[in-house]
Amino acid sequence: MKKTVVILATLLLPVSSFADGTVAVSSLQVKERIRSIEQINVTAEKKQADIAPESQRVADILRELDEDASEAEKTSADERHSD
Amino acid sequence: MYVLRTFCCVMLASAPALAAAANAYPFSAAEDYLAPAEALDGWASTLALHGAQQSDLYRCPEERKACRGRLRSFNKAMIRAEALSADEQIELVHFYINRTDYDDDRVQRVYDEHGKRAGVIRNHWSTLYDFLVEGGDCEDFATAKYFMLRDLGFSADDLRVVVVYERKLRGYHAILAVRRADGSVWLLDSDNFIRRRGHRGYRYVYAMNETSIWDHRADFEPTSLPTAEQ
Repeated sequence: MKKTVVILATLLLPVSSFADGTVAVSSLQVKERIRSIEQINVTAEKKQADIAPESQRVADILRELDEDASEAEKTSADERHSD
Repeated sequence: MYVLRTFCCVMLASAPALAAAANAYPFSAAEDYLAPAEALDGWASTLALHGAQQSDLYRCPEERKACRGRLRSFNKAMIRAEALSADEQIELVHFYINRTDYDDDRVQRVYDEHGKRAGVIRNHWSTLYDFLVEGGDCEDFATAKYFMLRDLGFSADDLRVVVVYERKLRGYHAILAVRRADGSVWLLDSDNFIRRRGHRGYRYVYAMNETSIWDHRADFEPTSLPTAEQ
């Protein structure tokens, strides 16, 4: 009898809490939540702040990567021009 | 001495309150676990595609033709990152990825076999390879940082792509949460800020990594957020 009551309660209630703080969510409830998550439109664009890295080593690497990128761009532009 | 001890006790006692005031990301909230990562179709296919593209990421500069977009600088960044501390690796990945041009993705309409509109896919989660070649928008900035830090050896357990409701923008936005060894959680945003104590302007909505999905909406009243159509 006790078992029946527990099963019925699990079917009727979408969420069951346990003493240790964990929560059991029914598969129907999970599907519903996943569907609502999929509907959220993640598009907010944020303006970038002019902040430098705290680490000087990181700042140096980023500068080096920027210089490489502009050098590579120049080389490919020259190659296109010579073609 | 007494004053100093009292001051320390007050500071220790108020630490959780200070963290709550700054709205730290709830990394340890086990009750927010929702499902395995495979349950979110778009994210699951991005994870699978990223796995398949892994070798393409590292073919440049040996194969010159494989150096599309930012792949050359990516390879150099990964080599240089090996000599850095974990904090510096996070900074390098954060600023390197944020230097990518922002490209807003559009809503993709999905049609069934009869040509009828079956629905829309609102978000497209890019792989790291696609992001470096084509660019992306805020959720792609967060996933690119996730994949790059994973390749640098960070554990998936300490990384989550988090979708937040940004009160100031009145819109949904994605960031990367990184749990540090001291238990603090750093939030890496596309606006260049690394928020080391959370951010009052965020409402954490849901989060994911390569194993799981967490739904944080139970932490506040869901009806207070706008629907996707608004």
